[in-house]
Amino acid sequence: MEPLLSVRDLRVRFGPVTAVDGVSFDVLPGETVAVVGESGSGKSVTMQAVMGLLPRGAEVTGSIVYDGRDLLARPIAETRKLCGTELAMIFQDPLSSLNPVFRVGRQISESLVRRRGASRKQGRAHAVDLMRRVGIPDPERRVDDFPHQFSGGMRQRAMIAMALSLGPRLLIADEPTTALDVTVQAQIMRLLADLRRETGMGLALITHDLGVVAGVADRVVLMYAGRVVETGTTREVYDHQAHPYTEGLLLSVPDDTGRADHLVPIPGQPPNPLRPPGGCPFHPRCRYAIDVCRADAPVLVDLAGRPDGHRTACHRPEAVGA
Amino acid sequence: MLAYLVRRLAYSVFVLWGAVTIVFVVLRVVPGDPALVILGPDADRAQVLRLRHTMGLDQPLLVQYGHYLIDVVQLHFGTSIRLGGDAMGQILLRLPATAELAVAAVVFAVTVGIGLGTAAAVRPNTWLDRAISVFTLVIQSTPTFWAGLVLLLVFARQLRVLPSEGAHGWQNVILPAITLGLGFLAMVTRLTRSGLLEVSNEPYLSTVRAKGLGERIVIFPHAMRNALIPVVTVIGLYLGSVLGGTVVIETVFSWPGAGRLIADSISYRDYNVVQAGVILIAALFVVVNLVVDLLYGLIDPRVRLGGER
Amino acid sequence: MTATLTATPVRVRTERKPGTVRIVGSLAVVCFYALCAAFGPVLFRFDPVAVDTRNRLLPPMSHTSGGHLVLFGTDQVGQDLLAKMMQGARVSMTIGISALLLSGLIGLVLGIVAGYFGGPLDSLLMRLADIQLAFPGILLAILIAAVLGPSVTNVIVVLSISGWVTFARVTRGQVLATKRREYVDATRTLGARHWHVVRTCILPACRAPFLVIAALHIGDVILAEASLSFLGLGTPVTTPSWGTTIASGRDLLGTAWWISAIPGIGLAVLVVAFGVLGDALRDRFDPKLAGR
Repeated sequence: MEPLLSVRDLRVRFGPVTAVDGVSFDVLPGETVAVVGESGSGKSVTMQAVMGLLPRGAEVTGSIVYDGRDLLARPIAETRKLCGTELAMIFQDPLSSLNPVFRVGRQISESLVRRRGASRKQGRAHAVDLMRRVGIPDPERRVDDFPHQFSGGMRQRAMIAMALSLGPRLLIADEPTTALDVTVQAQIMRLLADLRRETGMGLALITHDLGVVAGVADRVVLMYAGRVVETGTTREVYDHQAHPYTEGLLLSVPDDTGRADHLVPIPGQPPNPLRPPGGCPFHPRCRYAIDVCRADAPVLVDLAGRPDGHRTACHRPEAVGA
Repeated sequence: MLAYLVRRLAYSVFVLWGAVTIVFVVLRVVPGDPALVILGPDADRAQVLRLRHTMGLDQPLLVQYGHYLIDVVQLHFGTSIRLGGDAMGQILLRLPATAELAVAAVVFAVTVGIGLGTAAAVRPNTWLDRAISVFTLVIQSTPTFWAGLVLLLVFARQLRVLPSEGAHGWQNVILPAITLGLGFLAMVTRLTRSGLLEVSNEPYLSTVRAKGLGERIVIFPHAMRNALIPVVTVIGLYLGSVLGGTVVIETVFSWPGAGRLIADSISYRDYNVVQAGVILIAALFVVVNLVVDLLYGLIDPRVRLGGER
Repeated sequence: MTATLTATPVRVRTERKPGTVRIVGSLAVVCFYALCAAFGPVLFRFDPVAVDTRNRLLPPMSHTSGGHLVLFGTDQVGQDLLAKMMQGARVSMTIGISALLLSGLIGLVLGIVAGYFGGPLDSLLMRLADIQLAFPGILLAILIAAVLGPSVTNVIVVLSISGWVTFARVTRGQVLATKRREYVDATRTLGARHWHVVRTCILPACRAPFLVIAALHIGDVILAEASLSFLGLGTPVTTPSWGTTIASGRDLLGTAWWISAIPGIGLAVLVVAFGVLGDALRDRFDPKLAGR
C-alpha cells in the first residue's frame, strides 16, 4: 500500500540547534502511528514541519511526501492549502488553542465558511453536526458558547470537531490528552479511535506517554534527541524492545495492573541541544553502552530476525531486554 | 454586571460634580474679585459693585455655591456678554461643528493608527518598524498647533490643494481633522503594535494556521480582536487629547466650533460662555470614559459571561 | 509576500547596560539647549524691546544691513529669529523645570501623606486626582490661565497643577509597598520616627521612577506652555517664548513662514530628546513601568 505520508531524512535546524536530525517514517492510509518521545525529542517539530507551521528562520531539509508530492520541494503555499482540507492538527492545550473571544461554533465552521464559501447559517448547522458527532451534549445550545464556558474534555472534543470539518485524510494529534484529567484522557482517546474507524483517516499521535499508546496505535515511532531510535508495530516493540531507550521507557511506565513498585526511571538528563554528545545520543544514559557507541552514531536499520518494519538505531540491540 | 454599571454611573456623576465644583472654585474663588476680572482693571467702582450684585458675589460663598449648582443642573450659565443670548445655548449651537471635527479626527487616527501599528507588528525590529516608532515619537513631540500651521502652510498656501478656512465641504475638514487626531494616532499606533506583539505567541493563532487560513486571517480578525481588548481600557484617556485639543486646533483653522468659541470668549472675558464650554467638554469626557469602561465589559466574553456551564 | 505575525526573535544581550547610547545622546541634546538658553541671549545681545525696521522679515541665511548673517531670518520687528529662539529656550526651559519641580514636590508630599496615613485622607486625595483627570488635555490649564491672565508665574503654577497626579500616584505606590516590607517594621520598633523612615526607605525607592516620569513629563509641560502661549494665555508678549513667537508668525505664514515654522522645529527636537531620555531611563530602571 502506498503510504499516505512519507517522511525521509527530515532535518530541522534553528540556528545552531538541530531539533530534528534525520527522521524517517511512514503513515499508511487508515493506520494510527504513535510518535513517542520526551519533550525536546523533536516529535512536535517534526509534525510542525509536515504542516508547514515552523516559525521563520527554521532551516528544513529532507523530504515530506504526501500523496505522492514532496511538500518541501514546493512553495509553502501549497502545504498551507492542504492544511485543514487533507491534513489537520489538534494541539495540546485546548484552552489556549481556541480563540477566547469567538464562539466555538464559529471557530469549528470557520474552515467551511471561509474556504468553501458556506453561509453563516450553513456553517452553524455544520458545526452542530460535528459537535454531536464528537459527543458534545446539547450541541444546539453550546454551539454559541465561548471556549471558557466548556470543560477541558469538551474543549478538546470541539478541537477535534474543528479538525474534522473538511474531512481530512490525516489527523495529527499533538499530545491531545496531556492537559486533561486521566478519566477524560481515556474518553478522548476512545473518540479518536472511533473517528478513525469511521472515516478511515490516518492518525499520527504525538505523545510522551506510552500508556496512552498501547490500545490505540498500530505502529510506534520512538524519538530521542531528534532521531528515530526504534520503530515497528506496537506489539513488536512492546514485546521485543530493541533499543535501550524503549526498554527504559517501558520500565518507567506502570503496567495494566497499575502497580508502581517496579518503576525504574531512566537515569540522567536529555541531551543539551546546543552540545549533543558524540556518537549515539543516548549513550550517556545507556547501561549497555560500549566504546563504539561513544564514537559512531548508529543508523536506523531493520532488525535481523524480526518481522519487516521493526527497525532500531542501536549498536547492541541484542543486549536489550536480554 | 448590572451592579457594576450602577456603581460606575454613580462614580461618574460624582466626578462630574467634582469637576463642576473645581470650575466654581477657579472662576469665583481664585481671582480676587471676579467682577473686576471681567470688567478689567480700568472699570470704575460703581460698575464693579453693580456687577458684583448681579453675579451674587456679595453673598456668602456657600450660598453662591448652592445657587451655582442649581443653575448648572438646569444648564443656566447666564448670558453671553459678547454675543447676547444664553451662554450654554451659544456653545450648543456650535457643538455639531466640533463633533464633526472630533469624529473625523478619531476616524482618521484609528484607521491609520491600526494600519501603521499592524505594519510595525508583523515586521518587528525592521527598518519599517523603527521608522514607524520614530514617526510616532516625533508626532507626540510636536506641538499640535504648530503642526496645524505647517500643514496649512504646505497644503493650503504653497500647494494650494486644500482650503485654509471655513467649514463647508469635506475638503475643509481634512487638515484640522488630521491635526487634531495626530496625538491620538500616535497612541493608537503604539498600542496596536504592542497589543499585536503580545498576542503573537498565542497558541490559538497556530490553530488558525493549521486550518490553512492565510496570514491575513490570522492577523485580522483573530489576533486583532484579542490585541485590541487591552487597548480599549486605556483609549478613553487619550480621547481626551482630542476633546481638549479642539480649543487650540479650532483656533488655528478658524473652525466655527465650540472650542474656538471658548478661546475667543477668553480673550473677551466672556466668562459665562467659557464656563459653559468647559463644563460641557468635561461632561462629554466623563461620558466617553464611562462608555469606554463599559465597553470593556462587553467586548471580552470572558468578562461578560460566566465560567463553565 | 505575506508577512507573518511571529514572536520577536530574542537578541543576544550586549554587555553594555541597555539604553546608554540613548541616554547620553538625548542628554547631550538637552544640555546643548540648556547652554543655548543660558548663554545664547547674552552672546547675541538679545534685547526684547529692540526694533530694527530696516531688517524686518528677512528670510533665513540672509544678511542684515549691518552685515550679520541671520541663520533663521528676522521677525516682523527686525529681531534675529535665532536670538529670539534662544531667549525663548530660556523662558520655556525655565518654566518647564520650575513646573516640574513644583509638581514633583507637591506630588511627593501628597503621595507620602496619602500612602502613609491611608484611610479617608488617602481616599480624598485619590478622588481629587480622578476629578482633576475629568478635564481632558489642557482644558483645566486653559481655564485657570484664562482667569489668572498671562504671566510666567501663573503658567508655572497652572502647569504644576496638571502634573502632580502622576508623581503622587508613584510615591503613594512606593509608600504602600515599603510599608509592608520587613525592615520598615524593624526600624519602627527600634523607635525611629516616621520622617526617618521616609528619608531612608521611601525616598530612595522613588528616585528611579521619578526620573523616568520627570523626563517624560517635562516634554508635556513644554508643549503645554507653548500651546497656552499660542492662545495668549501663557507668557506675556513681552517675554518671548516659543509659543508666542509661533503665534506671532501666524498671519505671515505665506510670506514669512520661518517665524512660525522654525521655532516649532526647535521645540519638537527638544521634546523628542526628553522623550527618548525618558524611554531609555525607563528601559534601564524598570521595563515594567507603564509607559506612554
